[in-house]
Amino acid sequence: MKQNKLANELRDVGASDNEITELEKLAHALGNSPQSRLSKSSKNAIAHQIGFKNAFVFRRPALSGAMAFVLLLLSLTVFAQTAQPGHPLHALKRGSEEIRKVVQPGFDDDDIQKIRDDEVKKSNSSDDSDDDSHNSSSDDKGRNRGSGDTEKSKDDHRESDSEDSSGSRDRTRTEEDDNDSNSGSSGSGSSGGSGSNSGSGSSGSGSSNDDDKKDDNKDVLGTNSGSGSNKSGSNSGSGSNNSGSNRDKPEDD
Amino acid sequence: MYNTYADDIYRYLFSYVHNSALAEDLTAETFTKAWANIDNFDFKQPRPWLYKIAKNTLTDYFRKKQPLPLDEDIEIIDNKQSVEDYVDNQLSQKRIATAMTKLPDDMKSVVSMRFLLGYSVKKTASSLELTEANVRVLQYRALKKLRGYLS
Repeated sequence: MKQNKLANELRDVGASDNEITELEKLAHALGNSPQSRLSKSSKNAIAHQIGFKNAFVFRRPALSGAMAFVLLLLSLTVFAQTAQPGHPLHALKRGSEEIRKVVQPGFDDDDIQKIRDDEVKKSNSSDDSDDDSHNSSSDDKGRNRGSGDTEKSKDDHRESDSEDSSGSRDRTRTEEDDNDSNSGSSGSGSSGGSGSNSGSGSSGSGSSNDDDKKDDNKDVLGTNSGSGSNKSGSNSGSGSNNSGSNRDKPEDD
Repeated sequence: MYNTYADDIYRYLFSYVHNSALAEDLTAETFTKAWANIDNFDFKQPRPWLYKIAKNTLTDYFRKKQPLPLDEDIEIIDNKQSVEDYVDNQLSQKRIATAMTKLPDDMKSVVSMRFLLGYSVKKTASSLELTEANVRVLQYRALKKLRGYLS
């Protein structure tokens, strides 16, 4: 086959048939001449001579393993950026932040603090949405929400500070309501400060007449509008308002 | 790159110098130069680039040292051949090797790639940056010259 190819190639450039036969023999002799091949040891020796020490040291399995490890680490690090505190990958996220702090010039502790704040906000918002879905079914959860500020403060002081301030606002409102109410409702007001006013609210409405029930509705609406962002605070406030307004309203009338 | 092309470059250089130790040295020198000029490395066509460096290395060598020492350590693979055949073979190989050294460089390159390395016309053309027609013509002329030297 090769000979035929060569014959055609030679014919293409104008070789005669006699020439082709002779030249094919010569080409065959050339092809059969002993050829020195580069042995593996010589190849290694040359590689070392050149300085390509890694040409054979750079084992492919090791290389691919290392590459796979680096890729896995990178992808985990990327995935870890969404990890919240408590997640196993959160440590990796914090580690990557430390590296970023060293490598990236504009990245400092403030940026890390912002990331922490965002994490806390996210975790709080997810907790609130979970609690909202179960709020109506359990009074205990409302109570827990009232004291939840201190639990969350373990994760973030700033967030808990803001919630505490709203809690104290509610407490102030509760105390004002308590001042308006009689001594019987003062106990419920004080418990409103801790966010467990659902019991007192119900007792207030339980002791009221039909007019009081109408007033209950008004007061509940009023407290909802004034409750602001802190749901735990608003619940406690509404509880105290119930008890307070049930007694105040008839007097105003 | 080294793993892929080292053997071909070595054989190409050996076809010129017919001395394995010298061919190894020249192979090392070729890759050293290639490594030093890695910025100019053509990733699409590394072979022509490497052969060009090998050719320049040979040219440098020929400029410095003359005449070429023919290799003494060419081994006959077939041990069953008779002494007469062995001598004939050795003589013919020496003659072919000597005749090869007399060929012009471009013809020598074509012959070594086509008949020693076993490259196709297309591969030889791309390695030497020639057209396929050029390779065919050079191959024909080289074989005719060799025939003349050997006859």
